[in-house]
Amino acid sequence: MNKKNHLMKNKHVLAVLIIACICLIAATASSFVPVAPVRSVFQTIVSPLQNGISKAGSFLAGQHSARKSTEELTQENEQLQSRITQLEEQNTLLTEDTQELEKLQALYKLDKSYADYDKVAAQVIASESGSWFSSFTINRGSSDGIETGMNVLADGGLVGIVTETGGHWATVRSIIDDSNNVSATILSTQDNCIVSGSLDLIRQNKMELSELVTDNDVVAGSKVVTSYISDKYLPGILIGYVDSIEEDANHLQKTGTVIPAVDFQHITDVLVIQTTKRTADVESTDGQAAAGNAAESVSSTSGAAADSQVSSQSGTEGTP
Amino acid sequence: MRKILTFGLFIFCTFLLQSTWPVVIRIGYTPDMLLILVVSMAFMRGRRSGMLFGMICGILADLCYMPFLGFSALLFTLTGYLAGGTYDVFFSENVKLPMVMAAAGEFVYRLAYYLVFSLRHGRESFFSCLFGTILPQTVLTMLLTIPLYGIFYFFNRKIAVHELEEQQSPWLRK
Repeated sequence: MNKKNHLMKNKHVLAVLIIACICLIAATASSFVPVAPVRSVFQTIVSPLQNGISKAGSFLAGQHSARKSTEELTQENEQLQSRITQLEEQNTLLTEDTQELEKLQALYKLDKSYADYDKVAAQVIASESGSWFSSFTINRGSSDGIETGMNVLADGGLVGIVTETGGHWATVRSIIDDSNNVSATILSTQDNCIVSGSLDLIRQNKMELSELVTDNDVVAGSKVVTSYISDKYLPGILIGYVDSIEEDANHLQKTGTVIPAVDFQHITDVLVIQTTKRTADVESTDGQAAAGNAAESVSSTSGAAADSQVSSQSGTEGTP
Repeated sequence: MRKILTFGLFIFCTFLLQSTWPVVIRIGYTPDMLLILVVSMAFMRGRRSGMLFGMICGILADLCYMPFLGFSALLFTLTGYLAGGTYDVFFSENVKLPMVMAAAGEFVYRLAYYLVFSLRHGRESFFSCLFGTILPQTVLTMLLTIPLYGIFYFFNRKIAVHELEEQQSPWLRK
């Protein structure tokens, strides 16, 4: 199979290849040679196959787990029926609340909440190898209306942001990735903070919360949502729930942990919001230009609060 | 020519399998099938095959999972070279040695990944990474070597038969 009369000895080939690899690292790490076009072409070829295999694999896995006993199924059915009744009651109350909310929003001409934007459903077809879904590929792309910078949700919580798109695929970097920071707000006290991903903490199902400046007592279990001053994420998206808070050694800021709302080990179906933060900001400034007195006083107080935070927190978001 | 196509198909299929594994089998860890391929081919065909497979699989892995090219290529090429040293020494039916080599390769690869990427922003402590990523990945890769090596061995036998036939063909006798 391998005759010994080659032109070059094996160790020389090794040396050549090592030098080639080092040159490759230098060229691509310094962005001298762009990797994105090659990656894009490759992904375009590969993603339909990945889509097919994922669907087939999930189907087979689903078949296997679908053989539950009839007894289990009847029990589950009863539980689900009573749960449905409960939810229907809640839903009626909430629909009334939503209608009133919409009336008030129209009155004050406030920004749309992310629930009003168009969304696209997608499935995860491939993911970065290694542990956890810190970066994954979905089966919708630019031809389905996906652009980079769009926020991705799953189970009603924030999952990540689109970083690359192709015709029929997109890559999503999730918020638990080490390089990701999200500008967030504690919903109950409206205090701003930063939620960072950490592969370390996510093993305990937690994320890091930092730079919280407040005199309020933040209670464990408080909801943490994306803030208005984020430059990448639409406001009001649920990130998770506060797990613990403690003061920094310098007594100026508080840090803590957040339990994410999404189960990052089992992401299958996601929703992509088809409005990026930039577009939403442009729309809202147009709307505010035509606002009445009531709207102006409301938005100016929140604007002042946001401004004082912006100076300390601008530039801390995104990839370091 | 047939050899190149077959090996190209190997690499492509292994890559597809590796990228869809986390979606179908959701345990949070993925065996490094490209590394298993490199080690298996190096074990069955020698240093040169090991290095070439390592280079190509490495660039493929870099293309899809890394911000820049060359990192995995370098490590896989070295692994292929070192693994190829066992080529003439052991019987190819022996699956224990590829297992050990794949485990060692994965361990070094994950360790290097931690040192280069995670150490910089310091958000991940070494011991958490060791027990959370490096060791489970190593064990999983080691276990998956058994079925994958079986498949690669089967196809390599078929190719080797073709190669022998070609060498004995009267057209190629010099």
